[in-house]
Amino acid sequence: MMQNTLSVQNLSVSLRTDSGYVPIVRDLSFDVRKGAALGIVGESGCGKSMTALAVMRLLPDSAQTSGSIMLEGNDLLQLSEGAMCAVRGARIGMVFQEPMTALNPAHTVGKQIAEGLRLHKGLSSRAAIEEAGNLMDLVGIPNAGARLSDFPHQFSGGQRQRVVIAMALACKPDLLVADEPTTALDVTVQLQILELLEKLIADMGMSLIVISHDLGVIGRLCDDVMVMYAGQAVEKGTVADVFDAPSHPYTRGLFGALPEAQEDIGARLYTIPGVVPSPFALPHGCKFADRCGYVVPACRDAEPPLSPGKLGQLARCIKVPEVVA
Amino acid sequence: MTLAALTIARRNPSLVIGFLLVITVMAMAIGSLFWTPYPPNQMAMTLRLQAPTAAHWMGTDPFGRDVLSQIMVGAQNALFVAVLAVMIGATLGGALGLAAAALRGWVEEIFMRVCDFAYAFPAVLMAIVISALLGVGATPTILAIAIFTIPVFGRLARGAAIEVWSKAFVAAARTNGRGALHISLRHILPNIGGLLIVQATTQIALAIIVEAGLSYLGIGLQPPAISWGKMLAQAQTNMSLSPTLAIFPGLMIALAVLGFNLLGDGVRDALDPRLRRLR
Amino acid sequence: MLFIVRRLAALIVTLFITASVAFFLLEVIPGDPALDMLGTEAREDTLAALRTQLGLDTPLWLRFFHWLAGFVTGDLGMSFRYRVPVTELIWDPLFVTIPLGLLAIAITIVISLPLGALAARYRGKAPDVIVTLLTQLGLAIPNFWFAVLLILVFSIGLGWFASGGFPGWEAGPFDAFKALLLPAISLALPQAAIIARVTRSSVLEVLDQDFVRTARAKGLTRSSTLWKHVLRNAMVPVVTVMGTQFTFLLAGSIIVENVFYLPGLGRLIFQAITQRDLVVIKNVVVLIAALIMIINFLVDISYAIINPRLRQR
Repeated sequence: MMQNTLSVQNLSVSLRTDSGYVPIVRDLSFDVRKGAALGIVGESGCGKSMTALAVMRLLPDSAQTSGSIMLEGNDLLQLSEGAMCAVRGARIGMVFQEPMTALNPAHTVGKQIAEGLRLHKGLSSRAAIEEAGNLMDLVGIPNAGARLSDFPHQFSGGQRQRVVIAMALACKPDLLVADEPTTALDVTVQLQILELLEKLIADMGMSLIVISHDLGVIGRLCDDVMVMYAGQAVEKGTVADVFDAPSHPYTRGLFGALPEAQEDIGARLYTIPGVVPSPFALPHGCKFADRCGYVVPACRDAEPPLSPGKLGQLARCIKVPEVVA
Repeated sequence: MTLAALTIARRNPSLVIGFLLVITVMAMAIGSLFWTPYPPNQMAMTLRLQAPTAAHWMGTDPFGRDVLSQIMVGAQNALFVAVLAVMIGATLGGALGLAAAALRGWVEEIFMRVCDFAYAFPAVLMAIVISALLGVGATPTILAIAIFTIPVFGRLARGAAIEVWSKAFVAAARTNGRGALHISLRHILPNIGGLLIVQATTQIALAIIVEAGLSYLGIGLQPPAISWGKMLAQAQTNMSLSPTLAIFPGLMIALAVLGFNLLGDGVRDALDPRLRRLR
Repeated sequence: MLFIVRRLAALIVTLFITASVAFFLLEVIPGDPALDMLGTEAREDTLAALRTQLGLDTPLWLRFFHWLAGFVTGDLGMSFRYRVPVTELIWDPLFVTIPLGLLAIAITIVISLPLGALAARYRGKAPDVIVTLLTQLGLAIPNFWFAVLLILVFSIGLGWFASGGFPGWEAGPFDAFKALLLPAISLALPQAAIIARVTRSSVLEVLDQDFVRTARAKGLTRSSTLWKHVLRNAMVPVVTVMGTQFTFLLAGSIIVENVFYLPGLGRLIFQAITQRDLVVIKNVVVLIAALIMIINFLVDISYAIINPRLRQR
């Protein structure tokens, strides 16, 4: 048990709306191994960002959460709000998608990086600013010491993301959660940020959750992967297994490897036909059935359980043999 | 029917409460045209400064006049001045704003600078200058309120009209050879009408306060016209003898203003439900 | 720096326009100030002498520049009625109106910012509903009625305050302050309602922004996020609206000073109207308008301090 930094069991999240509670994340279980990186992948709206926010316990007030989220053996969902504040930033750091808006425009970046250090490590403001300078240097911002007193708008997008990463790393957390860390950046900068993250994880030996819709990012950074669809894990396993032999039709779809796709669309960028079911009206049985090329009547009878896939992974499909054939 | 009304009341309480308050004040005003408990200016020196009684529900003033009757006639005057002033201001301001949006260029530029300038003059200051020019009474009061209302509607109409001018159906009308005047009246105005009506409702609330304030100062409505503001000024001098006298006129101003403000909010929410969510 | 210079130029142009409009409007008023001053029984040669003395026989445009030059150098002319320089006439009232305004602003801020932030923090819950109700009431209750109610309760009922008048600063700061307190509260009421509303919606808007979540992810509690990250950003629109509110504050002071018989600028200008003392009206109106514009200018400048991004432009 203790080789997992984070262990999430049966996590469910629903949001209160005018027409009742809507399930966003359903009965999700996953582990993040110590020193390893887990990738969570899926289309927008599949619940992957909500999962990250649930781990941070930063979901909107209208959200209802159940299950357990064990960080080094302590259930975060049982902590008081005050105790949770001592976890955020200190033991779990988070990197957000939009470096443009993730920083407070009214404070200098130095002050923003130092804030967590003062809070969790009890550093004096001078010591914290000094450490902030070291962190900015660590994440590769040139002339870091001189830039401490600059405001976010004076930095480029990539540099801001470096600042956000420095903030998340400030207190050397056990776990870093990165929600689409490169999506908002242009391609060359994406690569630099990926290299930076890769290097930092290796150097600091922390665990990582990367949330992305981009399999390339996951393949590059992660050891394990979980594919989410309609609030659920549809396939999970090591990156090697899942990338070599995707065993759920949806995963295959993400790789653009469904047989129909090649026939119909040819060279065009592949998109999975149909749309993600609305969380207000989830279909009975397999949630992917309406978009699946392998669908049989049995798929609509009951939600398939996670079962062994081609290699070491698990897939939520009753037709695994046909899918991987 | 009742169920539908209840649903509206739950979804949009501002609209319902505002509507009820405005209807009440209007009913008082219209009612006073036909009937008041006593002639509003009938003095009775034996009945001076009475607290509320069965005969005089709101008591009597220092001259023994019935306060309820005065309040009712006051409603009539308050609404008359406020609605007329806002109608004048909204019409002129709306027309100028539409013209600025239609003509653009230097016309618009001059118009906007004049609006900026007018904004530096608060209503009361404007009214003071106007009363220095034209004297006191209902007409200068209406004029003063109308004048500071013009730039409010001018800016609003211009901004909204410019947006509508960029729409495809306007371009279609132009290719059909329609002139700027035709387009402004037939296409632009109907599209910004809702916005102007919401603003007018809120502006009437402000006008009621300004009229009462000017009348309180003695530069608004003049005797024998009855104004809530003037009643309040009179009540103040007799306050230690009859505190209730200072309650009712102020309460009426507050309820009327609250009514129009809530009605404005409610109508805006009803026109644009998305905004209500955000608020 | 450039942006300050540009705003300054715009300010001077608007001030000039305001001054000319006020001058020409009040100059075309029918009536003869000399006749007003001396009465109808005055002899024609006395009247003519006074007209020359007042400069009424020179052309309009010359009088305008004469007046403008005087205004800029601090010579506001002579009151027809009191026969003293207007500068002298407005000196003491300034020391009533300005402290009154400042006190009202202080009360507005102290009341409205916490209420607005509280309502936003507990959006949709009981504190929000209560604050929303209070702001609706604050907007609906005219400040002169609120003033009358305050007098009714605290002066006539409880006897804690005088029901009006001003002892002067000679009577000591405490007594002067006490005389200004009720007027300042009534002046602050509608302002506080508006600012509380603006604060609420502004805080709500900032609370939705990403950097708030970043701050929470750092481990800050809800309230320290509110204090350290949200409020400062939320202040930009609040300061904008507060700037426009100065206009209404000065306007309100004209009424409130009359309710409490305070010898301020508002009461002075009001008396000038009833006495048709046009020199006083003209100068004080322009003075108040100029004050409003200068304050609006200062508000513009203060954005740059709150929002570092504006400084760059």
